[in-house]
Amino acid sequence: MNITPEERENAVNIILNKGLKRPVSTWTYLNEMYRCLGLRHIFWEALPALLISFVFVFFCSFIFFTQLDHLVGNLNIYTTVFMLSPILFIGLTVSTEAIERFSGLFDLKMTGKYTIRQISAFRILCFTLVGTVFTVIVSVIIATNIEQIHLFNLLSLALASIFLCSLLIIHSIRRWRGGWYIGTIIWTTVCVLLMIFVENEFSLFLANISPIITLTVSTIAIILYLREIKITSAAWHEYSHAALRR
Amino acid sequence: MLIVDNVTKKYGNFTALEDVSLEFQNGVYGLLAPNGAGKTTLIKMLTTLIFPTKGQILYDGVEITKLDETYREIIGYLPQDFGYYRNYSPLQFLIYIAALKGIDSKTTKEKSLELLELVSLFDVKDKKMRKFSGGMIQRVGIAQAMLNNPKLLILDEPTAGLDPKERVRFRNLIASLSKDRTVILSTHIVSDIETIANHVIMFKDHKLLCNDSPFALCGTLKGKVFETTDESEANRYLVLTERHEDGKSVIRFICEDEYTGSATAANPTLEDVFLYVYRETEFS
Repeated sequence: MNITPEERENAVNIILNKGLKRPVSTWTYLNEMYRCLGLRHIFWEALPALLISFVFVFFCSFIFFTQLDHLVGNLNIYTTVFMLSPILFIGLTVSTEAIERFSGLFDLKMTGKYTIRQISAFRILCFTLVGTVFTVIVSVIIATNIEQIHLFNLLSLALASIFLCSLLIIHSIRRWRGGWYIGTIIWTTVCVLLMIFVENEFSLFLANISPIITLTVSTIAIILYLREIKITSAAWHEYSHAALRR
Repeated sequence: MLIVDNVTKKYGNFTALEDVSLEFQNGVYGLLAPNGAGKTTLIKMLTTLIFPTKGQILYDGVEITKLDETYREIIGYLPQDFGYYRNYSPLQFLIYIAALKGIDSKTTKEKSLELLELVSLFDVKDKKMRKFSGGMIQRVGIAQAMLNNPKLLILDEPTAGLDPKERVRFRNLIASLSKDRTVILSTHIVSDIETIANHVIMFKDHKLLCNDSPFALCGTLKGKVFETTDESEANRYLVLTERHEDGKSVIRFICEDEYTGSATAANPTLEDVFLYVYRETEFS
């Protein structure tokens, strides 16, 4: 049978269109989920927890600013910024995840078209953005009020901190069923231990660290963080095979 | 068709299910076993909440984890501990779950109302669920499982905590829903499935023991179940149950060998099979 190249091309296209589904990227999938569910359903029942987190963080910020002069005087400003930068992110993530886990609907929500794991990935992405904006605002306020502080140094340190913490928490959520609190406990414990045992050395280290290094750390953390978001919101079979390999 | 193919599930050194193979077609399948026998493990694997350590689960020939959301779109699931939002009405709750299931928002309200009517909760559709009884909550659970008109309805201990009247109503509801779909119902209460299940699947020692119709299972004890009021006669055999009738104690027992005593032969029931199969668990 003689067929023209055009007919052959059309036939190949029909076969490919029917046989191959173009894989949907993570961002397209998250966008589709957002369009389908809307913010109301993504943050369902989370409003009280979000409000409590905001109030708590603004209370902490108030205490922080009242102690600012003291912190600047003994270099502890860098340590405090490093440890507290992720506080809004942690507050928002932990409170919403806790509500989700204690609702008794976790298993049910894992069997929907959009699983709660995928919804959590979307929420964490939002919380990281909110946390980053908050950190940037706080850093700018500090740097414009105190001459000894360089905005670039402070900002790079704060960003490194927030993305390292976000990476730790989302990795824990993906890896362990109770990851939302395990990640938070690890971060808090490390910070407390550093403060107890090597407070001066750590403060000096953070005060003198080059912003190039902190920015490099931030960049690596962001890349790994995005990879975690991608895996967490991935299709079930990719996730399940990863789980089986573990 | 759903196929469980040589599935084993281990948690560390503990084997929750070993080498289970099953086929599910349209109808009601009752998973009947005492607590801890592996029913919930199987159900969690069927709903992709956990994965088999060995073997595979196939739907229409494709592994269910590979089907991903396509598979989740055809299942309806009522978990053992069904949580709910106390401050929401059943209608609000169904609309929320429908969104998670990816159901078109234009038809969600209509579908939710239709299901609330089906489970006899239409009159309280706008009432907060904190005022609901256990039976009403379970009916909300059934309604949410039916939102996507599932081909596969999986119910884990759905009658736990229900009073006898609610249990009967629930059984009738399941029977009416099972006409054109597969219903997998896990329970340790025999009466839940005795009248509605086409197949009864039993597990023992974390292995599949049998998969047959209630009639066939009862047939395995035909001619072996007897009733007597003579306690000394009954105590020579394996006693199943005891009930009081006209001021006398009627004892039901099993005689595995040829019986020559004075007791009356009785028709075996699924409860007899259950008690006989799990006699070590129940009697020791």
